[in-house]
Amino acid sequence: MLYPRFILISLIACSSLVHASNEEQPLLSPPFVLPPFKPTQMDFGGVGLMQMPTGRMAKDGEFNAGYSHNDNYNFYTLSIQLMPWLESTIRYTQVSDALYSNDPQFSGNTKYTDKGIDLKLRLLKESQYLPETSLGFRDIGGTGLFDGEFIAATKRLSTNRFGQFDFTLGLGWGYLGRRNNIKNPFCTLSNRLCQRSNQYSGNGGEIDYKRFFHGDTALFGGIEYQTPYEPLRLKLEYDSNNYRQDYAETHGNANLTPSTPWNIGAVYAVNDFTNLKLSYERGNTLTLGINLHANFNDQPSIWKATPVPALTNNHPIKLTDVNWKKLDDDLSKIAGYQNSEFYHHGDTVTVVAHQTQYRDRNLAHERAAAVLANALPTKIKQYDVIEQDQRIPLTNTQINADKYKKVANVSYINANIKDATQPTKINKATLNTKPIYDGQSTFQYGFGPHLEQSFGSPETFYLYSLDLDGYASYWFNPHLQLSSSLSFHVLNNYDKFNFLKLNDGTNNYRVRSLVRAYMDKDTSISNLQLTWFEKYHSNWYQQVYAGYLETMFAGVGSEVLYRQPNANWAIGADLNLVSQRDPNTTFGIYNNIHGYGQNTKVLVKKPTGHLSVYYEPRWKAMDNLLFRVDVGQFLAQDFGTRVDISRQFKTGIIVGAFAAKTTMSAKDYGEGSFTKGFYISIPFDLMSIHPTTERGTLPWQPLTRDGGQMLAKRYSLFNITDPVSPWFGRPSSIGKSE
Amino acid sequence: MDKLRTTINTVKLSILALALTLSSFVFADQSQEESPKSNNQVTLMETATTFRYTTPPRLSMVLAEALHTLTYNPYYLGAALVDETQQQDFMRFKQNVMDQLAMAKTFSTEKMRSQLKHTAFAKKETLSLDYDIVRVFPQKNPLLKGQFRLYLPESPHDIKVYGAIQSTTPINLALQDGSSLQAYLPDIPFYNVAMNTTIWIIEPDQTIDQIQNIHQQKQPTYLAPGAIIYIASNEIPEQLNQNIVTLLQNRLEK
Repeated sequence: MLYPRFILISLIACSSLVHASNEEQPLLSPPFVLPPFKPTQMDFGGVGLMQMPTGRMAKDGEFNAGYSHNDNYNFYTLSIQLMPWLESTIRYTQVSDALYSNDPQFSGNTKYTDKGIDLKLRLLKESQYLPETSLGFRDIGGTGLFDGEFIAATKRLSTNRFGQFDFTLGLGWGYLGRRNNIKNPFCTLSNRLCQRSNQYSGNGGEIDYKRFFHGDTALFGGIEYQTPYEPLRLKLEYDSNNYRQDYAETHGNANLTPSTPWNIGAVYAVNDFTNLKLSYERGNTLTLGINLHANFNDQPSIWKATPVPALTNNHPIKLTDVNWKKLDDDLSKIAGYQNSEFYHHGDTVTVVAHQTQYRDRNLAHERAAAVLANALPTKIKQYDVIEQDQRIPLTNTQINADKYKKVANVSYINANIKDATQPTKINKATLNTKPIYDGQSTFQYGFGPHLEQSFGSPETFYLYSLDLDGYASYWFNPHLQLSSSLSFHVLNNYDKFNFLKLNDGTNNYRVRSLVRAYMDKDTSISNLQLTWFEKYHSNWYQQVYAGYLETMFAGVGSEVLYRQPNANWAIGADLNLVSQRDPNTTFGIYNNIHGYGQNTKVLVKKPTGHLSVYYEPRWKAMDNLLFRVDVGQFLAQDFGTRVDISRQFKTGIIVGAFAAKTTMSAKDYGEGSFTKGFYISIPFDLMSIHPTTERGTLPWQPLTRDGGQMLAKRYSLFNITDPVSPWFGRPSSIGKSE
Repeated sequence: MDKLRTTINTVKLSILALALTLSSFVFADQSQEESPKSNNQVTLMETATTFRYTTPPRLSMVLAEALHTLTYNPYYLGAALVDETQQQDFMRFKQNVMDQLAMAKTFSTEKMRSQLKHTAFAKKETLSLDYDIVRVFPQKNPLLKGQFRLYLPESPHDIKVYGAIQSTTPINLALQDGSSLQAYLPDIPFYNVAMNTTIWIIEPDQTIDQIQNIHQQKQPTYLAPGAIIYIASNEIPEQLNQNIVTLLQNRLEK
């Protein structure tokens, strides 16, 4: 009896051994397989036929930007496959035959613009007998121009000679059920479900789940055909919408009456990332479109690194002979460790520096070891690399000099820098001694471009401002920093502004809806503050700050964070006392809540702060997701919760969404009902020829109102302590293109 | 009797090992690099030539010398380097797979066990043996310390089939140029007609590909000469199928 159990245990042990040694090779990257059938996008954005969706999901990480045009509508769409089982689409619609508003003072001749969000969830994967089946929600949280739900099932038929066919059959409600060619199956359950309301709840922007699966229902279906001629795909669909209640018809002068329920179309792939679409819909409407796509899971980095110096035998004999200035420069240039401080203890040299180039710290360690091995005497047997940010020491990596030399010399098969490095605790005693060389400069400065943009404003579809931001900082001591940033507005179309203060009929503190008053200047000091940074024991971090904290607010505050090395969670809190800045002066702060104008409330000496929890689940269906939850008092003195969920793809691109629900009611909030938004954060080393750890973020907030808004602090402890358990600094797992 | 002999041998070996350990203590200071006495050798299996070196050689040097003894251009996808000293764990792993198959005692597992018995395995090092790649990239040109077997075979003209098939030995199918997996299917003696099984392709360079619903998804999968088609068995756990695939990745041309 003992014997089989022993076999089982040793088998498990052995299989993990064998698998571990195979880790270097990607498990499933067949070099001999043709690219698979790739589903294409529908007019509304998201995987589908033309007007109708399918049950298909795109490949995980697929990002698609599309435009489609016909006489009635222009669709601008962005679609992302956020999880293998979740597709999300954002859409701006311009209605050709309707105006933004009837008030030319407010919106001129801007066309009616509508925002919409679609979600599609996979219920079933395709298998031998079962189709890929998905449940979709169109135009949730909008004003409901196209709102509808569907369930669609898609099955593939492949032939050896005639290409591949993707058959879809679906059931639609709302916009997708207008043809009403079948009885709503839910209607038999309850009469309440037979009628669908046209009203949207709150002030729009809420998820109207009370309407889901109500009213008219229709069957739809279609075929997507991959022809044997690779770039060409053909589509045929049966449309479940009769277009009798389309906005363009009810609010504009358009006539969308279909002469046939059948639509036909073609998709032509111009190259790997561009599809052109042409379709003939409703028997009378020609629709044209273009889609550009990329996959966030397979963009190779293009940066070229500075060559690593080869090992030499030309070492200084004593530490006093070391050219520290050159060593500091080389570490910065070759290994990305900037402004190093060096300490010596026994046979160990400790480097304290900030990493600016390599997300992949193993690469940084290897390069640092190469530089150190050549520059230091051979009697130094160990290099300790302590990484810091804002002078807070974060991680320590021990590099064994002899083992590194074996790795550098490729003395054995599959030699890897990880064989020579080991993470260890930071030795505080060493850091308290006098450094043998200090390459840190107390004064630092820089500048960079900054693009601010917003879509779908009343005045014009696209508002932008290109700024030049300059920033500088000065360290009084290892904890206290003075920092500032200055924005020069170089180029913008803010002359199109019809108003500075939004007349949205609300009576909240104007903590964000007054933002235009702050942007309408040539230069502004967006930040000028004193900050004290501190680290207690090994895992507690704190910052205390005072000054002009951001473009709109000044005040004092503090943040604490607890974060363990390589933990999938962190917890923090912040508390601030802030007043709104006066946009008409450079340094002015309001003392009176009616300082801006009689009918406008601004914030004067009010507290705001949150308890924040960061959590990254470690189970497969939630792979590479980060949850951040903030509970507390927001700027407009509303109390509530803000949830931020983001997904990181293999390249390091992060896509996130956030929403805040507070004690401010939808009525008090105004249009949109509650604050929500999206962002994409892109590591610059995907696009730059120099390696860098920097990121750029593209935010998108459909509406900016006053509820659920947080202070935009200059420093976030979660960002500063990132190397402790990397999220933003996680290396790309995609091979570099040579 | 045999047991006694083994014991004596073990004792002898232990004394030898002890002596070696002691001597290495004595010489520890001098032996910063490998001592000149150490025996580094690589045997090219195709020609049964053994190359000996006093210091560990670079892989590129070994390959250059090995290529001189060959009369043909080797098929690098199927080349293999085996470290004689690193085989114990793998052999234990192999034995466990065989034992599990023996315990399963189904129709297909008996056939599979027999197929695997007819095959030679060894843990292959995961590195490229293509002379040009090794020569050009210093990172891919390690020192070889110890005793190795090197396989630089000629390009085979067949494909091998293992797994849940009606055969006690692996089947060899003639290579069909430019054909995908589908072309080989009619020649495979499957158990049942439904054939809703998973098929694994093990390319000669150890890359693997898993294909489900072969009849539904006709994405062409091309096979390199010497590739292995493994028909997974429905009668054993998924993990055991994967372990057999791992074994087949380390299959040697006899």
